Amino acid sequence: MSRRFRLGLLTFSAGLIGVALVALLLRALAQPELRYRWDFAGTSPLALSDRSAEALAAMPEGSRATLFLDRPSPRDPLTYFGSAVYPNAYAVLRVAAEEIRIQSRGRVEVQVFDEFSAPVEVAAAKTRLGHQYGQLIYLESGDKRRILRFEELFRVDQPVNEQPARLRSHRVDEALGDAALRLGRDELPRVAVCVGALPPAFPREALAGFLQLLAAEGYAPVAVESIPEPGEDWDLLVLPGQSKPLLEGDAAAARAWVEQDKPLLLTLGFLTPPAVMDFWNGLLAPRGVAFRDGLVCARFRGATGVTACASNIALGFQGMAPSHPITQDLRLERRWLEFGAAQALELTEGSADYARETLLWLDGDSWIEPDEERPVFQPSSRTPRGPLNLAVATSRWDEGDDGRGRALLSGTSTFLVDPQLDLARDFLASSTRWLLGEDDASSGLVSLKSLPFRPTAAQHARIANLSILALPGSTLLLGLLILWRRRR
Amino acid sequence: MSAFTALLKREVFSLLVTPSIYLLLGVWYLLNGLLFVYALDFSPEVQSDLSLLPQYLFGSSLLVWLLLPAFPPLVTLRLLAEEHRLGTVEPLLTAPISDAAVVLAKYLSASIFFLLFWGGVLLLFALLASVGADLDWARVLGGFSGALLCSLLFLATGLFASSWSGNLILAAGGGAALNYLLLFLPAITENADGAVGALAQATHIPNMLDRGFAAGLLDSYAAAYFLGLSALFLFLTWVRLVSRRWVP
Repeated sequence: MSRRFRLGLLTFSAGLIGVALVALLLRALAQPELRYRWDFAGTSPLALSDRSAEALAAMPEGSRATLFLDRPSPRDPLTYFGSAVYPNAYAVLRVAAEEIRIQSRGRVEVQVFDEFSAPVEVAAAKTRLGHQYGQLIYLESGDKRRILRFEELFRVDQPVNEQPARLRSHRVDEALGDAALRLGRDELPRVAVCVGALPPAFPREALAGFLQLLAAEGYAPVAVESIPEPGEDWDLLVLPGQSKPLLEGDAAAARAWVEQDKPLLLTLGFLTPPAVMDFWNGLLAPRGVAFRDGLVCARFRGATGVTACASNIALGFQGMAPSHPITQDLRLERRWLEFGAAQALELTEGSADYARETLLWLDGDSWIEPDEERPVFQPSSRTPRGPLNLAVATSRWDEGDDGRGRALLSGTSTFLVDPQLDLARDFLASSTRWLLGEDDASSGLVSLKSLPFRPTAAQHARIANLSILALPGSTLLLGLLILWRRRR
Repeated sequence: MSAFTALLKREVFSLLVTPSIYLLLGVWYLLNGLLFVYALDFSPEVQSDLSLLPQYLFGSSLLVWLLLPAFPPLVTLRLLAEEHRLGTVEPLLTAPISDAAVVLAKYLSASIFFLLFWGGVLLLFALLASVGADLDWARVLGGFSGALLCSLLFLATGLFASSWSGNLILAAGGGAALNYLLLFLPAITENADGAVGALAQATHIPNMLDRGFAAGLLDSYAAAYFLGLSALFLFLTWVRLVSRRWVP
């Protein structure tokens, strides 16, 4: 056996022992109870709170967190004018990914896919999860899943006057904690989506996107044919449009549901038969809300200059309630919604037990086209004019912690299906959270610093000269000097 | 003055009067300067928010992936390989100083010298602050600490590679190869399922820098990882040296 071989063998053996010792040490130090992450400035908003850490550690073994931090679309306004919104957001999420891995004590397997990941792996993960643009984090536990979208995690100042968008704050910790708590429960909140009386133009397959949205939000949505009794184990009832009167049993169940103040999302529309409208107006009378007959029109000036009715309406942020939990963030972020075939809602004299608030409305340029037999689609002096309410939220004054008595009534159903569903995702997600008493969605906001720097030409020249020429140049000069001295 | 201090001083002085080291330092400053100016000029994101700059320079940039693994072995290549080549390793090992002290003195001298490398990069941030830029110093110093710890590891692997033979190319190449292995292997297997993926994530150096230090968070595990592996390679270097005595 040669000396070189014996030396190698000895080093190799020592190496094995050393590796084993270091591995044991690191394995012990990787345990969350022995692992510390110190915040250098004491202001870093990136570490997870104890609440989220405990929720993650309580998740079942084999849970997964998948993050998609891929390059944003160049058509996304948040990338305009050299905005740093996405790089900043991704930096926060990368730290969060590491925190999830540490704090979950290995229970949550974390995968981060970014622009450097293998395209095949990214595509496979996206296909498996049915990924859509803007969905950043998928937290999974068994067959339960919670998807966290960009809008849910970050608050952004939109780009204005050629100024880039700016990341204002984030609520990553709070959202992750909520999601982990939700998935850690044995039962997800159950949502009954009643499809027994859908309008003919509204096939039940069209609601698949809405059901997926609810599932992504961490609920258990089920399409049901008839309205469940309040005593059954349902947390929220959704009625997405109704084209015919309810059967006797359903009507009784609906009455009981409303009278017992169970959460309700009711969306009707222009084509709702009068008998159906009367039924619901009667039930909702104590809440001080009623559906109005007629088609909601927005002013549209055609090429000939004649004012006509636009029944497909884009509702800007100006028509959203600024202080209601459902719409306040949408308004702050200057979002808009689209819908069609809408009917208006009016506020009536109701019981003093209920509060109501208009969530969405159209301005004074809108009107109601009353004559369904001979519509002229033009406003006259006798047509009811705006502002017109399109969605109203009601709740009990004494609702307590469980959100008892919460209902959202909408004069249109079209935003429950594509393509309008895409714009209404956040509205529907925050509506569901509010209806189920989870309306602290804006809590846990952490401000983010933004440090823009646009050097002047002189500043730029100074930086470039010193960093590219002066510093390397003087070092090389020093080397030459030493070489010269040594040669002498 | 103890023998250890004397040896440390000799090693630091020896590095300070080596012209080729200044060539390395100059190239390092130049590449970092170019990267720095490039980030400020051509990265609109960095212009929009300077708090991203530490992550560009210390976290997940070309500097970490390409330059950082290559430079430390170039600094350490002479430390033991040169002694082998010149045949001065035997007198050194018979001198009244322990083998461990020899390894430590050589390692510390390289580490002290490498502070100059990172000091230059820190100077770039000071330069930026001097022209009125508002910086997130927590992230800058965090990134700096992470880069420094990572350099300590790469210097230790470089010293280990240098202890193998008198061939300088092998010493530099071996050290760099080890560093690239430590860097790329976890990155390649990061998304694998099961134990492989878990191991890769626990040893993923750019993640430790990018998601920890450069974000302003000092992670005890990451620090232990860098220091633990550094100690391991120093131990192997020591074994390599003393085994010459054990194996006739």
